[in-house]
Amino acid sequence: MMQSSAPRFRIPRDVWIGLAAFALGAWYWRAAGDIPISPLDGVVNASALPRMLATAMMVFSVLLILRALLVEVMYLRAARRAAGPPADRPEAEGHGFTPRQHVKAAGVVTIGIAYLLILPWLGYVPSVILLVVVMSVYIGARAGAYTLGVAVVLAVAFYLLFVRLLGIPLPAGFWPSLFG
Amino acid sequence: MDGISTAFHILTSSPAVFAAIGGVAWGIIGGALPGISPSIALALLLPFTYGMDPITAIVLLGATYVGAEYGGSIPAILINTPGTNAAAATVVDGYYMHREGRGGEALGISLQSGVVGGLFGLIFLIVFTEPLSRVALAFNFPAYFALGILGLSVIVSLSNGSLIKGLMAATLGLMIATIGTDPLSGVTRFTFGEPELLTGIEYVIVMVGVFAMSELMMTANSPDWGKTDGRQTRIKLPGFRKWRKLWRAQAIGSGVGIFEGVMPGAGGSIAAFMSYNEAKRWSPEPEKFGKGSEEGIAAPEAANNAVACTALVPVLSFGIPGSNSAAILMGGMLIHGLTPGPMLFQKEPEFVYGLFGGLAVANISQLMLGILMMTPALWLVNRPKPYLMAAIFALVFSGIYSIHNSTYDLYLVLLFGVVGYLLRVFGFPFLPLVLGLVLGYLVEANYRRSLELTAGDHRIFWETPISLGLLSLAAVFVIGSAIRDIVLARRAARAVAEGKSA
Repeated sequence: MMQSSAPRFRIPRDVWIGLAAFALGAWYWRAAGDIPISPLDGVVNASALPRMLATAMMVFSVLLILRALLVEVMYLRAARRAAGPPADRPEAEGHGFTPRQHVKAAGVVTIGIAYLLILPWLGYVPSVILLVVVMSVYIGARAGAYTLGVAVVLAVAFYLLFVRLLGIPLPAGFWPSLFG
Repeated sequence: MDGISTAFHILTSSPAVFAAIGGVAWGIIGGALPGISPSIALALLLPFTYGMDPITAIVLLGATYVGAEYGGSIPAILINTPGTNAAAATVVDGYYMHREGRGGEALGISLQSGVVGGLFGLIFLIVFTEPLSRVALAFNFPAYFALGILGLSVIVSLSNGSLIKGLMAATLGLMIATIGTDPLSGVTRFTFGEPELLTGIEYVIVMVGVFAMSELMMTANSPDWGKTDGRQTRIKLPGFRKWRKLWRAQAIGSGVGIFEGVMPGAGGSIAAFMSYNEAKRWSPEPEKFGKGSEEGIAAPEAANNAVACTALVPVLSFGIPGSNSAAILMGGMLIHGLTPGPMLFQKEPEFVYGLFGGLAVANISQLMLGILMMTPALWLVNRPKPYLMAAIFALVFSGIYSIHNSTYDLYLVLLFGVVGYLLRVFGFPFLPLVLGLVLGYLVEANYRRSLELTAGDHRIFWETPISLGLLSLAAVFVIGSAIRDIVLARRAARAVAEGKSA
């Protein structure tokens, strides 16, 4: 359906990004103030660059906000001048993900955190088996014996590579205490 | 001749030859997997290099870069999906040839052209890196500071995305570089009482998080890629008669690749598409392009392999990486205590010549490994994506754990994965962040040392001719890019409002 009314002002996404980045810059500035003064400090101490970076981040954030607002205003003006019905707004850079896709991505991180929590207790091989099963099912594999088999093969292969070949002491979990 | 004998001595007395061969093999497999770019293939390998001697480690990484550029063409030709961004130009004619039943020929042309491009790139690297580094020997503290700023501003100006977002990403990278113990005064900064942060955040953790972990988060949302019947495809290298038809396209690809590799921010993708266009322009059969042209494969493949070598020129001469993969390679050097830049030739000539030798082995062995690795690469491409992604996740976690035997690093990888994901979603370029991270020390140390010389007087930066020149050039890049941004924004707003495509 054709849009007949003039477009209305809308706060662009980059304004919110700019505000978040400004907050980061302000926090970093404050944290830079906590850097202790050392007797080894010369003319420029250890907090000088962090202060400059914090200032730069805040300035760039303001510029990003102004740029986003300017683009919105230019669009509205051009739309008003245009004879026909206005089309969509200029697209912001980046991916246009749906909230559901963000949730899916957050799930990957959650699985990672869960793995890290069980790793010291359960040990490397069982944890990797669980990780591979859960992660592959989460991304789209079917839960079943085949997936479990793949997970076992991968966990054993990684164990041989890291522990036996490279000599890295990966967490053994509670198993040694059972058999020790 | 000294260089050649040094390279030969190093190759015969260290595992560098095996690293070169292993790196190419891993690169081909990594490049063949859609979603695993050369930079991700390199980042995945970084944790494994900790226990190696510097030459072996960097040859391994350099060879991986070489192999990944060819590996990307395998799925481009066989399943219409480029394994790497640089292989996107190969899809056009490669997949067309595969549909005509000439996939083996297309792979052979891609492999041979890649080797030709890689060798030309390597010759350029060997011939021009040392003279360029001699120029940089005239640099003092203010000049080094200005060089770091120039490197950041060029990358920010030429990266995808807006200038302001590039500047913010670079600032974020510099901020991350300040975490840990200040190397000049010994005080701790932004460690929040965490002993694990006292030595700062390892480059590898940021790189693996930003490149690999964020890619896994993105991939969770994307469908599986297509599959191919690898049994029907056998590589067929072009004979002498066919090569005579291809030399022009390979020469164009090599030339464009050499030029683009040296340019900061350009990289394999731009080189591949530019060389495709130029090869079409100079071809006696331009009408065949897009319809299974052999030259349409030869040119981009020669170009992206040439880039893999010449991208090292600015790293080795000036210590300024121009692409994601080069930044990871530079990170690898820093991890091993090597400071890329003009002094590298003075302090570590064995390393430099060993690296050249290793890259020569990598490029030559690629011809054989391209054929040998075809079957395992196709086998992996044909595995269901969920298993591959889960395996890469487990590999990343195991590799990072092995650096300090600490789960703390793994939490940091997840954190930087989230950072990388947000950067992708909000349209921030990666390279300025990575560059800010690896150049952070260079910029800060030389800024502070310069001011020590003048008791805090900033005029030293414009009273030193080299520093003034470099900072002026940086300003030109940033201002020019800002003007371009404004013009593009006005044009886009007007075009969209008038109902045209922007």
